[in-house]
Amino acid sequence: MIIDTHVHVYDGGWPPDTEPGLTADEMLKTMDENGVVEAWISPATGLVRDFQQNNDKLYRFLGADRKKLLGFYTVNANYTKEAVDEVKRCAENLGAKGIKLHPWLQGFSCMYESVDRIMEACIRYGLPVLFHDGTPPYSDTMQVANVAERYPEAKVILGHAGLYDSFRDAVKAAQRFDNIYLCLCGNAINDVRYILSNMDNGRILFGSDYGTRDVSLLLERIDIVAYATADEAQRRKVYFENARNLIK
Amino acid sequence: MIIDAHCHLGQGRYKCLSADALLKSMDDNGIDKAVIVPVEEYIAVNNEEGNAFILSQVKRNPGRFYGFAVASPWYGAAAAENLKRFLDKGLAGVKFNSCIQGFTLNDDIVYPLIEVAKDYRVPVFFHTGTPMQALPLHLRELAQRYPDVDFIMGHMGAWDFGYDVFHAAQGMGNLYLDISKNLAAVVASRLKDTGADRMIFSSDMPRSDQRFELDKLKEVCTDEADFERICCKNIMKLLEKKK
Repeated sequence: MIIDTHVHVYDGGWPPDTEPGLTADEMLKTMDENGVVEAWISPATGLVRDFQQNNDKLYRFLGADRKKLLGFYTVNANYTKEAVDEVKRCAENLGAKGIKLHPWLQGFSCMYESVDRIMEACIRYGLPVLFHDGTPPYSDTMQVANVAERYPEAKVILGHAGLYDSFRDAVKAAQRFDNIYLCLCGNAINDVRYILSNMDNGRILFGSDYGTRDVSLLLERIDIVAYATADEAQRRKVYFENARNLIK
Repeated sequence: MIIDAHCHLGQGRYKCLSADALLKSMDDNGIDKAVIVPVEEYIAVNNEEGNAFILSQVKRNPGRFYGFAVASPWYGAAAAENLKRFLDKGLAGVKFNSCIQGFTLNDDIVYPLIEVAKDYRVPVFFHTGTPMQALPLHLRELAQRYPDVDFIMGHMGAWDFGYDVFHAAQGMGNLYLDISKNLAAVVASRLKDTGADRMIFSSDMPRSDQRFELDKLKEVCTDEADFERICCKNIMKLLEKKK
């Protein structure tokens, strides 16, 4: 049983001029076929275009099965008031389970005061925040970790656990701040072994970045965790239990 | 025949792989030969020790390993001498990781060592994908400067620089793409736009896994001739040029 904590809905708007990704029904079918019981989904196009409009589109997408498809809506920190209002709208009207921020793609620094206002709103509504991380200049793992340090009441997910270059930073950050969760999504097999061996295994999540029509992305990332550990209890925690504990 | 064109051998702080473990993985996965390089400690410093170890493993396992030499350009003339010595003794190429060796991939500090590779007609493997010191477009510039040297773009920009790779490789007959640690979908895209003639299979063991990497390639490369080029012919073509 797998909870995929890092999924996008792709409608062809971003990356530009690409084939639209899976419909909700198709996503549910591939989830069933591959043991994924729940997906935490955020917009893709909404990261670079109108976020309110794309959050509404995501809400409609999730309507196919709101028990299995959870909404991680996005806001843009370049629009302080609109972003804070949108966190409120997503929480109160769209059933948000979390907020997704992608600082380098959305073009803001984690150090903007507007990020503070967004984090405060997320704390008010008890929404975990899934950040893209592992990519300079705005989404370096330590920059995202600093947000978690500033807001110990927030639950901060490092959406790529440092990717290929910063997985050690991700582990250091998670060792120091217990409000940081690492999402294994894009790390190499031995990096995953390192992460599993060096931090609290209760805060490691599985994610795929899946949502395009190519199911191989999901399968590869499921495999990476399976290659990294043969310990069934550890796999269960990463694939399912830790995510379930984070969002009950 | 299948050749894994990039594996790290030795006991390091992070990467640990013995020759026996690598040979077992090769046998289990139908991989005939592997190109071996030292683990990071010996790439960053202690180059001589790393090269001696790699050479010893090549000699101890005849027919199974090709060894690539390492040298930090910060050692200046001594680095060039080190490379020459080990290429003379039987190593088959040169590996750089400019991030841990502390230079920008195409900085002129590395030119004297590329000149050595040119003289010996051996391929040069560069780690890529790490900003700001190891980008695909850095390697394009270096490859443009040295059209007579064959370069292998390690991990072809993975993760964040996948978009750059097609443009970095375009028109560059001396630039080859190592597919390790890339998603199958990305490998499929490069097969389509750059072609099997320019792609090289490796696992980057022990950071990734031979079976995992081979399965990904099999999934997207169903043409037998293309598979043979990527897994064997392309790297052999580069290795056979050595003087």
